Amino acid sequence: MAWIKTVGPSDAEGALRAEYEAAIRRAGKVFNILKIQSLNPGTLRASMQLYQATMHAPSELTRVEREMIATVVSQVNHCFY
Amino acid sequence: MTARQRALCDYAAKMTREPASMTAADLNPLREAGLSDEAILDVVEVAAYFNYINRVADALGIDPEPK
Repeated sequence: MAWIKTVGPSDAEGALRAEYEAAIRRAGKVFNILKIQSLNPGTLRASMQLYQATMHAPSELTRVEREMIATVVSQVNHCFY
Repeated sequence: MTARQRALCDYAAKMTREPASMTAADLNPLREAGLSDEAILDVVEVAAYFNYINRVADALGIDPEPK
C-alpha cells in the first residue's frame, strides 16, 4: 500500500473528481500515479498538464523517442513503477 | 538502435545520474543526430519530468499497477 492516504475514484469530489474523470477519458482508468497525488488536486492537475505537454504535444521527437527517454530515466533511477 | 536513439538514451542517462556535470558539449551528439534547439528542449523536459515523477512515486511507496 502507498505510504500516505489516497482518495479513490469512488470517494473523489470536486477538483479531484474532475481530474479522475479526465484521466478515465484519456486512459480508461485512474492509474496509481494519480491516486498517490490525490491529497493535492492542484499539484496533481499541474503534474498531469506537464505530462501532457511533454509527452503528447507536437514535437520533433517521436512518441517512441519520448517513451525511450522516459524508460531510460526510470531505469537509471531504479524506479520500477 | 539508431545513432539518434543512442544519443537520446546516453544523454538522458547522464542528465539523470550527473545533472551537475552537464556541459554544452553534452549537446553535441544530439545536434549531430539532427536535433534542433527546440527538440533538445523537449528531450530535457521529458527527462526532467520523469526524474520528477519517479521521485514522487518512490518517496510515497506507490503500488505497481495490477496486471
